[in-house]
Amino acid sequence: MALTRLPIANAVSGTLGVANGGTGLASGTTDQFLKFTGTTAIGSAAVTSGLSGAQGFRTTGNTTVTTGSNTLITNWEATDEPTQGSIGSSVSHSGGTFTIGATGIWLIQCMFSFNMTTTNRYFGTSIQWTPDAWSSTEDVTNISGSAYRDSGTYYQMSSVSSELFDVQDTTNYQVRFQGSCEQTNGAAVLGSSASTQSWCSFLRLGDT
Amino acid sequence: MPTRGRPSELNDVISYHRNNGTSWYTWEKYDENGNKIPNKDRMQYKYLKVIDGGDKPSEEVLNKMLTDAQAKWDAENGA
Repeated sequence: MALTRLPIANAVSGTLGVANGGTGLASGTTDQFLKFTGTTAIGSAAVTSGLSGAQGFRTTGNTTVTTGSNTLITNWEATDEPTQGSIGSSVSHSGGTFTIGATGIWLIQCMFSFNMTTTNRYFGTSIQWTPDAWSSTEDVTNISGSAYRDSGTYYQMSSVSSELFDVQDTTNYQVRFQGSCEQTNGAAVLGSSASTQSWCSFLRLGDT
Repeated sequence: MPTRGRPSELNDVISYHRNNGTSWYTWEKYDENGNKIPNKDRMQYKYLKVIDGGDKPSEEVLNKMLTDAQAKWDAENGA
């Protein structure tokens, strides 16, 4: 018996659903991929990959740190060297306070270069955090290191702090960075407008 | 070389002008005409910007901090 072949372009109407081995779609979006949007439904969706936020800041000048208490570092600027790159602009700075304008899991890091003109036995770096615009606050990191000055004008060391933050609010979740040392008026967090010496960075790793 | 070795510029020493628990100065990023100042040129007295609400020290006071620090470095290093 001879087979009768039907031209599929005009012999079939509608779409073939997932339950019958199809996609249920009549069209898609250019450059997007298919994904299951339900157990029996497929949709066209963009693929989110990589970081969606990455910004760097640096101190523009030195800050003398105070003995016995944390010194708030406020002289930040967005790093603007010719090689600088960034992704997004959701992190903003004012007076030493950084507001993170996008929810998600953020890796926040800072590195302070210190020098000392008197003998010091420790230098500290801390990240201070609030989820409610400073109604409550916590020093979530307290990292310290040691250097000993026996002579000479400047001895130097550096200290790094890093923490993963779950940012659930785009206005009230804020961070600040602080430095500390052992001796009064004998150490400074370094900064420069000509080259980065102390810095902080914000990387959005994924959704909250 | 700034911040290492012999102090060579205001930025190496002026943070010690006051110690009030916060950063007291930064450097202007734009000149009076709104032009961006090259990063290497910003750290001059005329671009010094006070950000802690205090007074701006005179250029003479800050220059003396630098010359005193240089003299101290020279004495300690036999220069």
